[in-house]
Amino acid sequence: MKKYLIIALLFLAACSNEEEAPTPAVMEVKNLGQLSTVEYTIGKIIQMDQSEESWYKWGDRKILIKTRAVVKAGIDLNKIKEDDISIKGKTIEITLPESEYISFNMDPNYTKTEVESVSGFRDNFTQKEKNAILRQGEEAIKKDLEKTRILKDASSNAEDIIRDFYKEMGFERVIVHSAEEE
Amino acid sequence: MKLDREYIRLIKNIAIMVGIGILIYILYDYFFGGTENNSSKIADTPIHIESVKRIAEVSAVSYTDEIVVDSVEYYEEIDLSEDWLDAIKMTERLLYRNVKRRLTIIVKGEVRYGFDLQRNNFSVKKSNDSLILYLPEPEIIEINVSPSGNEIYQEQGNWSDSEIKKLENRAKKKLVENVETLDLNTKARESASKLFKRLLQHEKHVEIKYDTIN
Repeated sequence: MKKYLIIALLFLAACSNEEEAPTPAVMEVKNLGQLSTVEYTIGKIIQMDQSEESWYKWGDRKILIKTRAVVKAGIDLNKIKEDDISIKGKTIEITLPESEYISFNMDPNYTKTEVESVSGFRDNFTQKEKNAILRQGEEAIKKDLEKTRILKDASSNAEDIIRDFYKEMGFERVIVHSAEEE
Repeated sequence: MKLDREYIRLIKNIAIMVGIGILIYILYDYFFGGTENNSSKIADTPIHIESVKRIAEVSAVSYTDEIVVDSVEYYEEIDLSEDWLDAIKMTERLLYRNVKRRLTIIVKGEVRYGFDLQRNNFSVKKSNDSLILYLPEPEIIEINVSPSGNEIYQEQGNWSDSEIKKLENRAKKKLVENVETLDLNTKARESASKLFKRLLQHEKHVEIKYDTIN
């Protein structure tokens, strides 16, 4: 009997409709050692047209958002191992790790809804929907980044910066290799 | 007499037509209202590279956090002499406990702290047995927020883009305030010290000093 009572109570508790408050993740502080060597500013027009999607929905529903993303790429200096540096007198030879994306920033201040056309019985775009559309835009930009030269530029700039750095340190000859070429 | 009957019939017919119209609207709204397709895909549009810049930034530490920002707008004081007739307004007040509009966003952001060496603001002093590297003071290099890190937790009422931006900027400001309390400056110095000492491992003694050249 007691068992059934507990089950019934648990069932009732599970049926509670109370909305949970958002619990933000614990903040994180991380040690890095990344050298950003190139910054690409990328623009994109995000379009969505839901006018023809539902036969039973009368009216248009279109949106056009202009956005901009700032992407930085470079190398992770922590990945340079002891074996990657060799010195002979005034000559230094260093192998740099592969270039990678360092940061991606799609700041809300760079985003603007240019056209929002809703008519008939259609609902207005909510901010939740707009955020979902922007997320798709963000994914599309990240995917299209592969078609750009950003990682190659990052690698070549890193070689120049490291060369200048060691020359400043007093080396007469600096030989820089990148992991990509090996 | 006959005319009166015709009028009554006309009014009845109009009332029935209006009733059918309202019923159709209610049924339509019940079955299809608020069911906008949220899984629609965006059109395939190209990206445009607006600028390419060579930079030299060393990120020494990063701080990632989630900030909750909330904005609430209440109805003004209730005026029974006017408001009691507005059934929709009164129902909304009762249902939402006098809240006219509310928006809560969870913004996930990242602050990168380190050194911008683009300005050629570092120098070296070398003696026989030691090397002193002069670096600028560490600073906030960038604050990154993106739609994938944002979550609209609750949205009641209509909110404009500019209002959303204000809230997101408030979250960014809060991130910067947190940076000051976390003492990232010291952490960035420690991280940079390890990093440059590794790059200059051949030197017997490496010392790093900050902001003395500026």
